[in-house]
Amino acid sequence: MTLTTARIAWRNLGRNRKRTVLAVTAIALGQLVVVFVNGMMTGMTGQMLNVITGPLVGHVQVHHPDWTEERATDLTIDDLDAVLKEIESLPAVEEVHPRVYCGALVAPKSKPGEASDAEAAMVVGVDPEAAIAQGGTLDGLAADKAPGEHRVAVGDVLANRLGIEEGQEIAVIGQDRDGFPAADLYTVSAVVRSGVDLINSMGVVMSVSDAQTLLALPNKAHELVIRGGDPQDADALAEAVGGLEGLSGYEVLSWREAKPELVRIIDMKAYIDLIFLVIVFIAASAGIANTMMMSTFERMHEFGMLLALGTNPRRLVRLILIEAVILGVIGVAVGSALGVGIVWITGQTGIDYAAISGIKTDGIAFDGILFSYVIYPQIPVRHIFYGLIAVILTSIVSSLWPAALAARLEPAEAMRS
Amino acid sequence: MIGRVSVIYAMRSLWRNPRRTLLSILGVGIGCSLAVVATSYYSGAADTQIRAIAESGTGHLRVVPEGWLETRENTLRLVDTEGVLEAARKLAGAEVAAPRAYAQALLAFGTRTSVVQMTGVEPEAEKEVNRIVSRSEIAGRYLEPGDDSQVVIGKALAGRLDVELDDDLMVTLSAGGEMQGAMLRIVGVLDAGSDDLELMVCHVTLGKVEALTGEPGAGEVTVLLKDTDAIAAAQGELAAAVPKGDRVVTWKQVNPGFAAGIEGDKGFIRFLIFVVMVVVALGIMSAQLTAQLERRREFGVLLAIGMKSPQIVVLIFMEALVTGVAGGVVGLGLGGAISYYLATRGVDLSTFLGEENAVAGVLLDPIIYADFGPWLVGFSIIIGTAAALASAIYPASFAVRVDPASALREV
Repeated sequence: MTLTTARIAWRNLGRNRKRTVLAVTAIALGQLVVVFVNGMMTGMTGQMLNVITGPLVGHVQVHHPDWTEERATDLTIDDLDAVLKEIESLPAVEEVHPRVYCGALVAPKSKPGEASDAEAAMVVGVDPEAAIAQGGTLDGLAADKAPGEHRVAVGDVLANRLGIEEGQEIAVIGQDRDGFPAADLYTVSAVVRSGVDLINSMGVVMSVSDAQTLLALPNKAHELVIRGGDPQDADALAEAVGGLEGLSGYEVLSWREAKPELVRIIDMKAYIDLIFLVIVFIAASAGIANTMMMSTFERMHEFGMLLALGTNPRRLVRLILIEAVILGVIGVAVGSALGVGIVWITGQTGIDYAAISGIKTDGIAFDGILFSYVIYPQIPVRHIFYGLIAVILTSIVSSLWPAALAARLEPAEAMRS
Repeated sequence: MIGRVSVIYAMRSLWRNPRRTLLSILGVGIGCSLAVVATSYYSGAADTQIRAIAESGTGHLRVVPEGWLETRENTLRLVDTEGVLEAARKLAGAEVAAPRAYAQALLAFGTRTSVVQMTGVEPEAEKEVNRIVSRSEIAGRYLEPGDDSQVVIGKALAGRLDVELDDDLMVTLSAGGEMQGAMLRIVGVLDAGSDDLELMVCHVTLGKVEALTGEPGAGEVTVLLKDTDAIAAAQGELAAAVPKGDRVVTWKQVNPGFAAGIEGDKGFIRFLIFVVMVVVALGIMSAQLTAQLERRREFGVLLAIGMKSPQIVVLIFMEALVTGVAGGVVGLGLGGAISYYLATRGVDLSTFLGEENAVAGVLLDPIIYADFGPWLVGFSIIIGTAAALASAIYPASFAVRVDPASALREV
């Protein structure tokens, strides 16, 4: 009997194709928007997380306890080799790299008798291999241009200011950890544009060993950047690292603790995204509910006829609900397919959010790290199911009222209208 | 006359089908109210952000040397600082104009060093133009005109240098190929509530930067306007008044990263509202279509008794117009109430911002107020009407094709 009802419902939809197409379009459009907006937001948040938990910040950072606040050259992690070995012995650790930082003055090497301009700069000592890896501080730099022995990469803004190019020599002048003057000459192996704002504007990136030599920091570093498997496990990783014997007394922070500003921005974004999604969602379901209700109300004449022919009122309600479910399922299927298609395509090409407004920009720098406005949408499968359930529920609920009304119709009355 | 009959008939027809009419109006109304809430909230959020950006040192307008925008080279100086200042302060809509000059410097105290961008300011003007100065707590005092060996630094910077109030900082910078050094007495330590901001604060008087760098003049003049909507007009006006060789730019050009986010959101909201209204229009269209049978007969009768098809088209669009306007009014009522709440109570983001209240060098306001104003009336009604009229195109195109004889023959 239900099967027959279902067949009648299906035929009803086929008989009034235009109405069916319109309802399916409305539902599909609703689902499409929910899927797409969700995909965009997931993509954006995912990208931010990727940048943050990538090689720039890592999952866990280790510093001297006073380093974060004071950034003084003498606040180091000592006995570096032993510490690194100990951290590497942890099974959860995938990679660990030391870094060295120090403010300095940089000048192009001048010819005798010629005045040369010096600029304030930041010496950053890194592991060259890790730095040129994807997402690293020098992402995209060819291996033969990477910093090496007395070869440094210079941020493009600083290079422009100093008027230097690749291949030129520069002098770096600063203070070593004991406060004595420290100076050396380096060849500029590359002028770089990095995802770290500070490196672009002031960075002189050299190998850790060069920086250690320059600043009199043998076997010492200012920062250890550790990466494990999943960034979500960073807290556990931080705990494991903090428990190591050689690290007692040092500050061990997960990326959440190391970059609270970025975490706040992501949290705030998630909150605003949620408001956004709720609005989109209400809009989509109101549209669908309206479509279902109105088109069902317009069919009272037909329902009266069915009742007159002896259809059980309960069966009529079932009929209307089955129609609603079929419309909902088809609409959601079409909408999801289109939504996933669009998300997939834009996920390959990227959407330049900045280009919508016609403004040219590399992105926005939060806490010194550059975030791109080119969004690559992603789609977690569960979002489609949320949409599926919600849309079908909306279809059913919104046709319940007219269905209940139809069941109580006086057939003669309904047919006369 | 054509119009009048159609209008009267349209009203009656709406009245005769109260449920369809009410649901159509409600559908349009819900769509409009969402459009109203979303637009007023995001427009308020954008205004709040723009104000925060402008008041955190960027200004609404900024006069910069030719070439600065492309290179961001802070060693460039204005051709005629006095001329620019005079023009900016004469500008009708200007609230305050403040000159600044920057210099990269190495600060040292004992074994501690820190590289900063030293900012030379005119103290009185800076206090008015920069909320990072005016809203912060300052231990000691801010700069005063004539201070020539005094400096105000951020608390976090003081922490890194391990200095206190009244310590003397050694500052080193390069100018004209030579290294310049000076001792600066710390007269103020500024607590902005954000390490990020405090690390950037190293203020001395403009005269001190001029003396240290040997370069006279300012690198920029930052202008705050009384009215944010007047930016474009003020830009043109000021550009005509400033001496040749200097350029007037807006906050968007100075801070494209933020501007792109704000503008991008605006575009995105418009796109979403468009989709919402399409879904609403589809709903009404499908109801009209379902009523097709009934209305075919109705239109057949009207044609048979001598109504012309253009009159029927007018009739259909009149129905839509009334539905749309009524929907717009309903949307205004529903959405307006929510907007009013959001505009007076605000949305408090301080739980997310926490203690720190700065993002990317901008001191933010923790509470966002929606933009509530008379513009919502026109906005809601136009959107509602547009959606309703769009949904009427299809039934109208179908109505003109009705053949009275065959329409009347149908049951």
